[in-house]
Amino acid sequence: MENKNFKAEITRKEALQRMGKYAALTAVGTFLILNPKKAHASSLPDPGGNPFPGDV
Amino acid sequence: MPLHFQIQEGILFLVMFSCSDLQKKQAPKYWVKIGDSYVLWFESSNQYIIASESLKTLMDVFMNTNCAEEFTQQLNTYSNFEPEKSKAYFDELKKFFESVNSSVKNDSVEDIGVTLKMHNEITHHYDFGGISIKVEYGSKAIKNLIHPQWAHAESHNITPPSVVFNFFTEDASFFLFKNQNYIGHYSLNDFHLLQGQFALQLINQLYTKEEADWIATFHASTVCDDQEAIMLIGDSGNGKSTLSAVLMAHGVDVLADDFTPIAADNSEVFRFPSGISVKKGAFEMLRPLYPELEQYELYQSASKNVKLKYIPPKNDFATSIPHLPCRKIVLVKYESAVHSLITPLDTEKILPILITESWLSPLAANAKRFLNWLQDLECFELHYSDNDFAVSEIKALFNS
Repeated sequence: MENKNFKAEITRKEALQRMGKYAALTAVGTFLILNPKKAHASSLPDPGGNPFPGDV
Repeated sequence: MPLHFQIQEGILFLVMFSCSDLQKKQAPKYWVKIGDSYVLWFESSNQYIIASESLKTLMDVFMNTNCAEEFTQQLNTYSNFEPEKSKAYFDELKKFFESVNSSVKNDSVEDIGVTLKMHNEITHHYDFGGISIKVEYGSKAIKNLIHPQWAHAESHNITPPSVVFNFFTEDASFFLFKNQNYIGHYSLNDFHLLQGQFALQLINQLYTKEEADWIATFHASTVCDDQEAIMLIGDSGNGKSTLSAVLMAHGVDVLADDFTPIAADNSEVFRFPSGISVKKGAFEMLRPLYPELEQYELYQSASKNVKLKYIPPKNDFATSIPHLPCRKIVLVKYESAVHSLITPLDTEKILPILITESWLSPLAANAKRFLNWLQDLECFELHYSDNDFAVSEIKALFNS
């Protein structure tokens, strides 16, 4: 168990040292935040826009 | 064999300090390691975060500390971070966790009390392997938004329908009712959401499911043999549907065009029996493959001056395999005159398109299934100009 923890800490240290190399970067700027669509949708060649303006 | 990591819940690392409950509660509900990246899922926002190992570690330190000072102190036990940088990281992470833990209002539409009103409706019956569906359209214009994709399934042998849908417009909105009950309404600009909702209602009816029974409805076309399915993804206009039509002409079964549902109970992708939409620009190339293309009705697309036709599925819904496992995804990009090439792609590279272009269930159990499914994937990038190359490479992927 001790060895396992030691290894985890080394890994963590290495990880943070790598982070330290990117001093010019902000931390959050290197995340990718992905938002799924909130509703089911079909894709048309040209989604968007009133499909029949003046004809509702 | 893909390397499997068990889906983890909450915080990974040792607790060095007494943790603040608040920061612990901000932890992702689930996370997995895919390739060199971590994919984290936050329940309240239904957001997926792709993070490097370094950043994941930094986040874990943040979640296990109470304040900027503790955070700095712990970082310094591992590496000599400048205090200013540690503080900047702390502030950014604080904002980040607040953001990904904020509740996002769903686009689910509230019933605004409009009652079903149909006058001089246009009625069509559709049949999917003996499941009869009746649709009443309130106008020719609204029919033109829905019917073309399903025209091939129209039935004139009228049997009692298992369900009746009504589409109509009122107060500059589209309304959808099912068996006289309100389902949703959408602004006229959001007709693709009306179509998407009908697609969901249809698969629910065909497979006796409800929304909670689906992990996702992917913006993808999917082809299959009798053993497995291969999903084709890509930005709109990159030729997913056209490639599906080409593949179908070469004997490949198209399981779904444009809308690929994946079920919670078995994590398999299900058949979506719509016609394949092809744009006028592809007619000339497709004509030798589909001599009957001339006979298919030409439709004007909904909002702009794009003409398209729908190629009916070749396989009968009643006798076709309804669902299959899918462990391969191909990112498709058609470009004339490019040298055709297919190359392996890290799974994390397809996530931005796969996730942001699709509906993913906000339910925790389904998000967990999605992350689990991701770990089994093999991904490829197909950049092509040559149809024969694309067909031969996709066929070779089956059971490879």
